[in-house]
Amino acid sequence: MSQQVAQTHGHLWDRLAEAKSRLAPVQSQYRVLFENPAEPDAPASVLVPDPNWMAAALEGNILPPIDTYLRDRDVPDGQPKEHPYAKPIGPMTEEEAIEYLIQKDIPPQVWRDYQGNRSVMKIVPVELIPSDRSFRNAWKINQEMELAA
Amino acid sequence: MSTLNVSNISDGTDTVETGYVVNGSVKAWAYINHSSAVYRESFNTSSFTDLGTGKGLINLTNSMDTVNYSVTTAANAVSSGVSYVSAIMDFTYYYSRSVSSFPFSSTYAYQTSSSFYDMPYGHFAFQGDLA
Repeated sequence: MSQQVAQTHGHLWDRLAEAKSRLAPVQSQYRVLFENPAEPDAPASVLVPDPNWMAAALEGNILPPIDTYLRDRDVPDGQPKEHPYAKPIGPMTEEEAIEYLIQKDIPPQVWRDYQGNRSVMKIVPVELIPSDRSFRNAWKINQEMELAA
Repeated sequence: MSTLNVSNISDGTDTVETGYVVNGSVKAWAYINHSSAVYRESFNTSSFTDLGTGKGLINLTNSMDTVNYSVTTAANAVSSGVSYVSAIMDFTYYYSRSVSSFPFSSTYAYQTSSSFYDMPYGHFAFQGDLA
C-alpha cells in the first residue's frame, strides 16, 4: 500500500524537503504553555512551533492528517507507520496549526485526558512568555489569569 | 516532483551505491536558541518543547523507524575567557524517548561545579532510518 500511495503524492520527508526549498519560514505568534499532570513537580513546559513546519501547515498539501499520527502512536517500534505515506491535507490557519501541533507534540494526558480543575494548558501570545529565565524552573500556569479571562 | 530511480551515482571516476547516500544522510536537524526559546533553523522538526532550564525535547515531523536512531549534538562555548566544558546530552535515561521525540539536557561545568544551562546555540542532527 505504501508504495502505491507514494507514487501519487510522495513521501512526507520528500515533501518537507521540497517545501523548505520554496517556502519562507513563518514565526508563530503563539506558544503553548502546559503542565503535565503526570509530573506535578515539574515546571510548566513551553511548546515552540518550528517556523518551517508552520510554513508547511499554512501552505497546505504537505502535512498528513493528525489522526495518522495518533494511530501511529500505537504502532510497535520498527513496524510500518501511516503518517509518512498518508495523503496530505489542505492549508490550515495558524490557530488550526497550533491545535494540530498540540495533539501531535503534547502528551494526551494534558490535552485529552485531564479532568481536574486546574488549567493545565494555555495557548498564549509569545509576548506573554517571560523573557527573564532566572526562575525558569518555578514557572507555573497562572490560575488567576485563567479566572480573569 | 519527479523521482530518479538509480542504483548508483557516479561522477565518471568514482561510483557509489545510492543506498549509501540516502541512508547516510541526516534525516532531521535543528539549530535552536534555548535561552530565548526560538528556532534559528531546522529541517523535519515540528516543534521543540522547553521543559525547564537546560532541558527540552526536539519533536520530529516525519518520525524515525525505531527509537534506536542517533543524534549528534553540539553546544556553544559558555565563556571566551574561562575553559568551561559545555555539552548537549541525550536525556533518555530520565525522560522517555520516542520515534518522534528526542529528550535532551544541556550543561556546563568548570572545575568541581556544574549546572544545567539554556544554550543560545544548540545543534542537533538526527541519523537513522525514517518511518
